[in-house]
Amino acid sequence: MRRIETDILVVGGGPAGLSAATSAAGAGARVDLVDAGAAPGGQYWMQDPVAGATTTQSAEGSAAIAAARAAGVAIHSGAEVWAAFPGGEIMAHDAEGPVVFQARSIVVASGAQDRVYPFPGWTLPGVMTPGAGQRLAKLGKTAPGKRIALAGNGPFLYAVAATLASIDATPKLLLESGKARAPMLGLLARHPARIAEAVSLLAAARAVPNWRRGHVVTEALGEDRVEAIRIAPVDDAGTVDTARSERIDGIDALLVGWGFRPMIELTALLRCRHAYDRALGGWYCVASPATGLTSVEGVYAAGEVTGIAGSRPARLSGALAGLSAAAGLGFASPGNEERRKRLVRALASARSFGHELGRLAPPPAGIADLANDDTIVCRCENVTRGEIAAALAEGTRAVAGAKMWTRAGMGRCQGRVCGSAVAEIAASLGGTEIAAAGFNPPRIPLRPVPLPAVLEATRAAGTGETH
Amino acid sequence: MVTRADAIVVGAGVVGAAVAAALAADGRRVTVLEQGVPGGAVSGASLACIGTHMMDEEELPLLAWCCDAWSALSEKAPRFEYSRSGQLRFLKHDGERRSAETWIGIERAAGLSPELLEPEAVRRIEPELTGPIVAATWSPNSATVNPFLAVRTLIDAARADGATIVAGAAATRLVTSGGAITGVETALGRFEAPLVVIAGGPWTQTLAATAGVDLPIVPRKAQCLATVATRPVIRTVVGACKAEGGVDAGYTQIQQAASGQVLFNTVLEGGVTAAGGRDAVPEVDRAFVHDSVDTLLFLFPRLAALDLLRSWVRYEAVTPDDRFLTGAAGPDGLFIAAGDGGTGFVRSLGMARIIADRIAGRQPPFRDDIYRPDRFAERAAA
Amino acid sequence: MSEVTIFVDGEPVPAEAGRPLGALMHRLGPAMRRTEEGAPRGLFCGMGVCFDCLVTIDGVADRRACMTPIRDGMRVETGLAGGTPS
Repeated sequence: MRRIETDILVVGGGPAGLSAATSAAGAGARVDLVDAGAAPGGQYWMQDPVAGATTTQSAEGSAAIAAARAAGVAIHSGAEVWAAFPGGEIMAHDAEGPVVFQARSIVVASGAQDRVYPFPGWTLPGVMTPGAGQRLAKLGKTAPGKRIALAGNGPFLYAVAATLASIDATPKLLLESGKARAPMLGLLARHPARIAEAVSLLAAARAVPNWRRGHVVTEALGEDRVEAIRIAPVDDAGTVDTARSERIDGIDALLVGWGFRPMIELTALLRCRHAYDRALGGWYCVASPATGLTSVEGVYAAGEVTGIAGSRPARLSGALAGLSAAAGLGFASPGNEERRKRLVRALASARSFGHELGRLAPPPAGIADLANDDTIVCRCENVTRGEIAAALAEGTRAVAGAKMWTRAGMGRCQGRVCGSAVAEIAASLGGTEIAAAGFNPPRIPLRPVPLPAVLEATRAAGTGETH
Repeated sequence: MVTRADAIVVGAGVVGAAVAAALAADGRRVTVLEQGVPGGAVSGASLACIGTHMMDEEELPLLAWCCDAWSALSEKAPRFEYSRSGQLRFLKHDGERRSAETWIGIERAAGLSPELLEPEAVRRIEPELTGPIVAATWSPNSATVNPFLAVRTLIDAARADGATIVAGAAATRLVTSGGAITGVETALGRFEAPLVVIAGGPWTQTLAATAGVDLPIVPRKAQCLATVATRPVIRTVVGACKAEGGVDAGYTQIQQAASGQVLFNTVLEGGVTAAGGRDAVPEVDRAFVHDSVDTLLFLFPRLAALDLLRSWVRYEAVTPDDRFLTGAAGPDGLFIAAGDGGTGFVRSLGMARIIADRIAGRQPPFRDDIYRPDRFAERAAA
Repeated sequence: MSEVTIFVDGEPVPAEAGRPLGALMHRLGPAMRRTEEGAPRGLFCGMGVCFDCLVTIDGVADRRACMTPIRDGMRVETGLAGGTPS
């Protein structure tokens, strides 16, 4: 079995993870980076698996990957982390089997996933997240459909529209829940460096023939795949006016998402402190703005796992966490402290833009209520909203209680997909704050792992049983 | 805010839920106080085996009564996945036969019908058990239930008889006056009642101590794993034979839930529980994961194609003689129902019967003197 | 770019090695499996999180199509033809 001893293990190969690895290795530490993707780059710097870097954005990513390699970072792609045991032991699994890392410090840059909420018909094939649509286009050179509807909120929708346009699959319809433009203009006025990017994203949205603000998708219709959708107006308070809903036929792909949720499974498993802010994606790992250190000694966090803010803060917080982690182990060169201070200042400014952007476009308040009693909320265990509501009415409470009495969150994805919705349903029916509904504490394995691989990875080192 | 009831039950695990249902059925207005979510701490994490096999001989009358009570409940409220699966206890070495035969003799003398089966006969009952065992005991009266839904069913029964469940109400202190219990102080305010039953599992002794009652309960870490759901492959509850001299398989329990997930654990050495461990959010031990997967694949080699999906940890309440504490203790009106050593699922209905009968002045349908909470103090005095 | 052939429910399908199997499967029809209740499911998150795009790959059940790069000669079973998957 592969057993790797290292100074710093970076988990995640997106902008935050690559920056962390490069800055830690540059300071002299031995650094290993483990990433679930077939190639490093993460979601933002996604690399075309066949053609390599094909856009400015992915070229920036391939430069970052090359820089990490040049700094001496050992990159382990296609490996998913599934366990952490006391003493810095992190277990991962790839196509060849288990890899066990023994690290002195860890930088978690696990990124984010699309945040989704259930609505009638959302389990139909052809309904997917905007991120899935983007990955289909970028990694698979595949259009999600011929007549695509793109819906939800936030500027990521514009980026997806741009990606789809690049493979001649411009969406027919773009639906945004938000209406107001003035706050966005105000934000850009305060961050003029971001105007060019905003203008280019806006152009991608304008290229969509039918762009409607103040609307949400209330239902996906079809037999064995999505064929039509129903949409309705939503006001600034988040109230959906279903009486004024309309049906749009001839849709063969629906991409709907509500920004991102931080992937906190590893930081939660490591017992780092977490906090809740719906505008930052929900639960996020709390990391020091001065160092990236979490509440647990030797565990640093960077990028979207510390609260959704975008790729720029991800890079800066990664570099900061990598530098701090290396310094914590005694690897520090003379210019480091100056560099750290510059990073802290730049990160504060970049994050404030990302956070304000998140506050401009939160998911509508009652978005989890689009699901009716028959709508599946937990896609893994096929648990409906009505079943969750019945359990809450019969005396249980919170995300944990709903899971125990209904199995919502007990399947293969372990609640990563339905967690935000279950929390909001539990809070709404229980009359509590969303944060009070909690989240399911992750347990090992963080991802399903073949039993023989578990057996091999958990064998005590030096027992002579190793093959 | 002060809330009044006839009886307060502290803890909505399977024991507290059963006690609440039994007291409510007697016409008492019951309030159940739960610090977390019902069944969320110890009960829900149980593998919930209902049976009499390889248990304390003196407890067989209570256990047999409990098995019948669970069966009856499943007919009345058939939604907790009660399955009369039977139980196999495998032997890895011929040296374990003597122990197996002793257990079978004891249970047959008590009117039960376990038997010793050779591997070929075992495979007729459990076809996928193809690992190299030498024999297995077979106890046909064992059943499994879904632990979450069993708690929910009992809470449902209690609510139907007027009980109120207050989740998120951590009990902080017992309130007494003139040597009698008058209520419970909680994070949500004071609840008043002339009867209080503490069914708080490993939290019981802390609350009892606030009324000067010293209970010899210690928490013990118990762990479990689950695979992803698969087609029906395991029909029974499969465990290791309890034998003298330490079977190298240790304690094992393997079963397949109605969801299709295979639930399993193997504990080779009794773990030591750190102080405060019951309040931590602990992780399974690496060696435990290894031993559990190893035993599962030893018995069921074809399951090697499955993925591990989940793990969890709970803290069982253990007493010095491995028997639970059930009955009156300390101030008038205070009762204890805890310390089941991880077998609370089968025993909970019996514990509830004792509490309800003793409060009502009835004689329970089985002996209950061996469960008196003050038995250790008496022994120490003698 | 490397053109290869894979087999989906026994039928040969031309494919590009290295690209995610999930994208090819999506092109063949967005449904990739049926739940125990018989409901069709397809690619949803596309990043290995949701476990909706499960197929059998070279005899190993429940693999995520979205996380599997295409290899020459790969054999994929959807379980769509036979109703419920194993």
